[in-house]
Amino acid sequence: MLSRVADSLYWIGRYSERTETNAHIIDTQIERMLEQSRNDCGYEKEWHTVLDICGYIEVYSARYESYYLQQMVYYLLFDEYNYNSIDSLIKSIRNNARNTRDLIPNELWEEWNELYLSMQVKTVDEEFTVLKTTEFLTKIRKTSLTATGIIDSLMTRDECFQFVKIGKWIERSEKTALIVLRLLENEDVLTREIAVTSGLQLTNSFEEYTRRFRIRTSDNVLNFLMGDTKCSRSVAYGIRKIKRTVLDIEEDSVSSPYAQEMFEALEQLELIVQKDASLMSVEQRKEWVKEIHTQCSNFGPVFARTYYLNAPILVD
Amino acid sequence: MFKPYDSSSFYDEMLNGDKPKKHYIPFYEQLISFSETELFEKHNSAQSSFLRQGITFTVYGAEGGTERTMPFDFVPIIIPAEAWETIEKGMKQRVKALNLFLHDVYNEQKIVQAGVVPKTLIDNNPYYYKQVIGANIPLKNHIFLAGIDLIRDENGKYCVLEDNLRNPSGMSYVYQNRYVMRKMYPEFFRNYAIETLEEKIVHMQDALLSHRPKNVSEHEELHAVLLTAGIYNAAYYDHVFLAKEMNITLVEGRDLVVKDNIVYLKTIHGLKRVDIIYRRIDDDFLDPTVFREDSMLGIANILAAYKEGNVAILNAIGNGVADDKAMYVYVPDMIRFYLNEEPIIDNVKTYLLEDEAQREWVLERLDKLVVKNVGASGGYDMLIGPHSTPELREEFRNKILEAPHQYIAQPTIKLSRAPAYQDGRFYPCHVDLRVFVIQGTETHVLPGGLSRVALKEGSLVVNSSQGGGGKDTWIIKEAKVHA
Repeated sequence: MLSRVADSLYWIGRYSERTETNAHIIDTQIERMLEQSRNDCGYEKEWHTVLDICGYIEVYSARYESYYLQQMVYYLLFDEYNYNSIDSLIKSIRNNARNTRDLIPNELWEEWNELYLSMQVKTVDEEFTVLKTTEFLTKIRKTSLTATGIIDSLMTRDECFQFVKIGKWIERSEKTALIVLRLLENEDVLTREIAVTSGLQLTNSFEEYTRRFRIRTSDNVLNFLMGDTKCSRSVAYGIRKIKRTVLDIEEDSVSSPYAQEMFEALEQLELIVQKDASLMSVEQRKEWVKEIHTQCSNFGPVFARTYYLNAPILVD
Repeated sequence: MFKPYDSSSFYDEMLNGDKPKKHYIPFYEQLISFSETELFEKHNSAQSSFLRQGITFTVYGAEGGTERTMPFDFVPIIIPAEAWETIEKGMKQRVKALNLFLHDVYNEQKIVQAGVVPKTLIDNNPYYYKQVIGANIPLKNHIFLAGIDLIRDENGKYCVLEDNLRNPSGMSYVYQNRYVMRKMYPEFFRNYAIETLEEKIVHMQDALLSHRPKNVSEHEELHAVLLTAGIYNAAYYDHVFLAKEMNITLVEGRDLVVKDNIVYLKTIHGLKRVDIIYRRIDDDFLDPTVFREDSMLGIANILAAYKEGNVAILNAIGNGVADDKAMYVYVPDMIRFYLNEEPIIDNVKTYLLEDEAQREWVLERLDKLVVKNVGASGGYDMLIGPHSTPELREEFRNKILEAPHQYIAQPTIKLSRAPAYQDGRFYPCHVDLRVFVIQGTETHVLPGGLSRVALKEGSLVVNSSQGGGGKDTWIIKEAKVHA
């Protein structure tokens, strides 16, 4: 497979996952907000956290002076200067899908293209009413989920499929680590109880957790989101999936010199996520999650170097 | 609802007076059975189908590029078998002669020595590339894919309007028009047996792979790619379609690299050899070390690999010398010279403005003629006399006097018309037909081709960039209409 094409497929995987997750996070936050008063000290802080998870709070504060709800929602959904706004993400997915149209199922292209076209003619009302915004977010999530279904049911399990999937798992692992990290950093503002529930809600694993565990303690939830290999949103699950897929690409050989750095990075991550939060102090937990997040963020470039940023090797 | 219009002033594809021609009767009967609402809804679904599938071309304007679909018109151009047989023979003959001409001008130039084609027309042609003189071309075939534009005059006689031997686009539309037609208007196919398009793609893949480079031995499996300028290119969808259908890798210049005169593909597992490149970028951009230095689309040193016989480049480099609007005048002579045959399909009468007598004659009749720049395409730098203003004619008079070799003139042809349906009504529009000829060890003509229609009422310009649309083209099988 062409390196450039692999790159595009990888980014389709990442951006699609990001679109779905961000839409879910914004939707969750809007719902939580309804029960809060504008004067609650948590209100603004929670939105800061969301801005940070779905974009960059620094970029937002550099451009906007206030934290009006409409402005924040606009920034997250449509701002063209926000590379992670839903609108920008959909444009990027469509461009990458266009770039690989000869390799992806036509249905996948049509799904994203239709969403893109519908956004060209009709956007959410300027008023951003709660109802309109949540309807819009539901539509975005449905498209993302349908696209995932199309990938799973129509794509041959070749390298094209594998690169899309790796993109998705890298994105998910990194995002879960980021969400937990930001919540831990805000624990002094949010009550611990809220932070724990938020962690599960924002990572969309609340239902998954409550089905399996009765007690909701912070160390339990932390272990669940970092190291539980059955939790589909956990870092450990994502890393495991990436490793298996990479082994498939490398035909089960971990010895190729060019892939060494990548396998080492994966092994380090596998080890670190298995630590037990119940044995740590509050500070240690923060450091632990920070380290996981850093390693997850660093893995993307390592993976990229392994497959397409290096000068290609001459094959005999 | 369809009502016959006055079809007496132009040749009409469908009507004879106020009655449909015999081969259009089943279509016509079906057409009048539809209600206005049905037609309107079908029309809208057909247009949105193109958009949803992203079958768009890019129009460059002040605000960067905007994507547009080529409007689709559901009234097909139906061509009876006998008429098609003549066109097919005519096209094969023409492309054969043009290919012999191309090989000749890059080798011995017998046609120049014989005094049939003036040497200056070759030497001064911007698309004649001295760098490829004597290059080893697989099968000696310079034309893998040609798009020949045909028109019908007021008597219904087919003439060649233009040869496109570089990167003729539009083949994907032929397939998509048929696809949409089958999906949205299945009723029309009842009572017709028409030539299918499917198997022709197999021929196309075979033809492509028959261009084995000199240095690649018989037992080696060939790796072919389609070279595109990328997603912002106007014809990108065409490129995607062809690569997908022929099952070859779609690549950009940055995906290729030349080492020791061998072309390689940059893959996730290293470099992989490439043997055949069906390129859809212009000659000028192919190799920045030889042609345009600033080209970001090409591959450095690819010309050396080509000349060495390590890679085949299709269509061959330098084909532009044969599809120039001035060279067009000489194609019938090429057919006589190389094949010793009379042209089956005629040219449109064309005046070369370099010739003083012809120039004088043309300058006196600018209001009646069509003037075209020999190097331009897509309806640009063109004067349509009867529709022009005195100012525009004056402008063209000056342009002609300044660079007479740059222009040709043709009589305003009364292009044939066919009904088109837009905005809820039917009206007659001018049409032409781009026929695709595929050449490898064998030559195939795609049955039908792309019927282009000037949707603006009264307009003669069918190019998509100028608001033209497309129609499905049906070639009736021998069995004829079952009606």
